[in-house]
Amino acid sequence: MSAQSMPAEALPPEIRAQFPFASRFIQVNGQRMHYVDEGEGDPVLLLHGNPTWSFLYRKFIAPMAAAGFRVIAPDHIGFGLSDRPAREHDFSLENHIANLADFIRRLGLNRVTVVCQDWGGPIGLACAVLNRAAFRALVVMNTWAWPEPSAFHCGIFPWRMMHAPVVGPYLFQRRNILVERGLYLSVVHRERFFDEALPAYRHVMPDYDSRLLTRVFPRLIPLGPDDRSTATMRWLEQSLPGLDLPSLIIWGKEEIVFPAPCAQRFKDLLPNAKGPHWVTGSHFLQEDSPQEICGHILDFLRNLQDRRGP
Amino acid sequence: MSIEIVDASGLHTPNYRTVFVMTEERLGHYAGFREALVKAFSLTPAHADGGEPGFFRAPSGREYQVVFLSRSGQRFPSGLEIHALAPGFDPVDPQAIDEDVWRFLEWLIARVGGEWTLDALKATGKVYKVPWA
Repeated sequence: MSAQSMPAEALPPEIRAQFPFASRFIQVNGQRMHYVDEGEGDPVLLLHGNPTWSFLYRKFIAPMAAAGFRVIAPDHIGFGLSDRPAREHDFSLENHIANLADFIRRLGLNRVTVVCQDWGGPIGLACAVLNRAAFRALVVMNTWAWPEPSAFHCGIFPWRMMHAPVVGPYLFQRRNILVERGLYLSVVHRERFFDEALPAYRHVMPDYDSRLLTRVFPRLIPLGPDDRSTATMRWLEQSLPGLDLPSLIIWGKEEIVFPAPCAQRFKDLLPNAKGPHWVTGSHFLQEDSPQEICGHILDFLRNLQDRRGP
Repeated sequence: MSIEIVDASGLHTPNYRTVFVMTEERLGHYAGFREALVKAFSLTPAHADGGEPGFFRAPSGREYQVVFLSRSGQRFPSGLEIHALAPGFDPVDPQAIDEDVWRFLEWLIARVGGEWTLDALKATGKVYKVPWA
């Protein structure tokens, strides 16, 4: 298997200044996964989606660690500083779930609160279903966990055209559109994002090969009953009501990829869900409202502590 | 002037070398794309067993090789590679290649047809700042 990762020391100082956390690496399913691991206490697992990496949570890590939690943010295989398998056929939703399950097992994590957005949702929630005993709570944001696509994902323009055969490798890999344009269009505070964050997302996807997963993930979103991820997403949806974990829903007011009814659908699926808390935010709401989201999560976790007692 | 499908004997690029442009591993991801290419390049299953690659000439005059891929369990072609033909040891211009491949995409979408319209491709290109859209 061909896999390359970007050396952690290759991050330039202006990116490291915003992301001053020790880079750690672990082998999962034979691949090198990058993660940060800061603080002590019950673990909070921060999961990104496409095309971001753990940098997305840079403003969450220090406040959560200071509040008494062990904050762990991995880069999914194919993203950030983790290995980049070179073939489309290396990737599947099931492989991503297995990678995160292996990561949790190898770190020996227990009492995990998973915080997930975009593809972090199906991957992280599936791990909670598979290993309920290791999890303590769920925080879901701008994601989904069912086989039916959103209206955004059904449209030819722009979504399906973007990753259509032959068009996909051109737009995603040669033109890097998801990083160069898609992220920018999917935040509310665009000037701040452009100046502060875009260089970090651009830096870890410098060339054609490094961008492969940005076009593979869109093709894994089920659109019909015979699609590759449909059965797993159906299993996930059917499993969530039995999960019985304290849950919190946080949603972007400006989200169009997974619009407001998706938040309500999670409310219906997760019997103990609080929220949704609506925050200023498009799809990448972590870029738009990090302090507010962090506040909601910490309040939620403190309430869980209080309920547990001394 | 549009994309022109040519055979090896009709190429204008002398003493060419091939320069990788991109790979598509899942031509069958959406219906219609594989069929459009099969028709345009007159492909048969025999091409999967040592057949010649396809070639096209972009409106710029630059020429490209299309290598059709075969994968067990999938109909042929399961994917393709596009390579630019560069004369001798001349350098290639990635921007010029990107423009040529965009023209190839327009040509392909026009042949797929149905819900896959040129307007949708161009609108997508404009949103994502493709200069030739």
